Amino acid sequence: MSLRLLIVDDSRMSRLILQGLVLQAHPQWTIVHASSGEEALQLVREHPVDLVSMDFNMNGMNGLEAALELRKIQPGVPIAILTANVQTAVQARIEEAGMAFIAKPVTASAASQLAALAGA
Amino acid sequence: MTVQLDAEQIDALSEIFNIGVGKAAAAMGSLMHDEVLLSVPHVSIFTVSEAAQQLGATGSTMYGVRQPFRGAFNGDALLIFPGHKSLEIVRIVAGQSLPGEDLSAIEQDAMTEVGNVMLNACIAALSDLLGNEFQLSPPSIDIGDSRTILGTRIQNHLVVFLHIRFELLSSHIEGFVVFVLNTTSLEGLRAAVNRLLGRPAEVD
Repeated sequence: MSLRLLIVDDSRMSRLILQGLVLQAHPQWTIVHASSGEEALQLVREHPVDLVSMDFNMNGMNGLEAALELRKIQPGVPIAILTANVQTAVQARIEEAGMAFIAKPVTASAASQLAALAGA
Repeated sequence: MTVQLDAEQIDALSEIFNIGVGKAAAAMGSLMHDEVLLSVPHVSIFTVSEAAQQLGATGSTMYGVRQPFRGAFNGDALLIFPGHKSLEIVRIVAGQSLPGEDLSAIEQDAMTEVGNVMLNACIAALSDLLGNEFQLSPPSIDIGDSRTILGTRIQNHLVVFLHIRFELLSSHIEGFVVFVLNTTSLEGLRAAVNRLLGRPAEVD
């Protein structure tokens, strides 16, 4: 199964590590990167994606705001908020909004949880 | 304003901080593939200048990842490493995952992400223990001596200074986790600690 995964994170290192882990397990996937919520929305407007990994604490729109906007452009797309902000209140808000919550650091386990969202 | 925390409040704050940094150490251990040893936490009220002296000699270069937080009380959480260890830290965190990458090109980004994971874990533990959510902005990094790391505060201003030393067991990398709270936040901090201790609200 070939999927198009959008990784949104203001840390280039985090994007590259997640990309590496995902491609190890799913070498046929296509990975696209965005370094902000605004850039992610632009990318999705131009080309739909199958799965989104979204950081939470970013300059400009935060990850949840960006994810909610992204759902308006592409309803139903699975979105995981992959964040170091592991406060219970933040996790609850993310899950109430219908997004998956995955805690950083980016590990093989986090990458597996992300892939599972797409049924992979 | 009188800056005071009694012994029981300091003990409670030390324990809260201890739990918070314990969570942070677990996150860092996972990121760095190593065991993290922690010292006993210290809670003090210092001038900015005294706090800088606690962090190390003036002039030695450090990396400081700063995570500002706003809520029942405001402040900065800082993760501080000696500057000469930064590339080693980046190699440990990202070397295996990013073969062929020029690690020096992502050095600051990687250090910021280490701080992001560790400091957020610590703040989350504080948030859960105290029952207050903190608003977080993206972390930033400062490189310089201890005064630079502590920021542009006026040197004789008082700050609540919580610090704990950590060491990565295999790589012998040492650093500090530091929380700096302006004394204007002290009332909020004291009220949060009192709630945790089951004390009635204080009346001035």
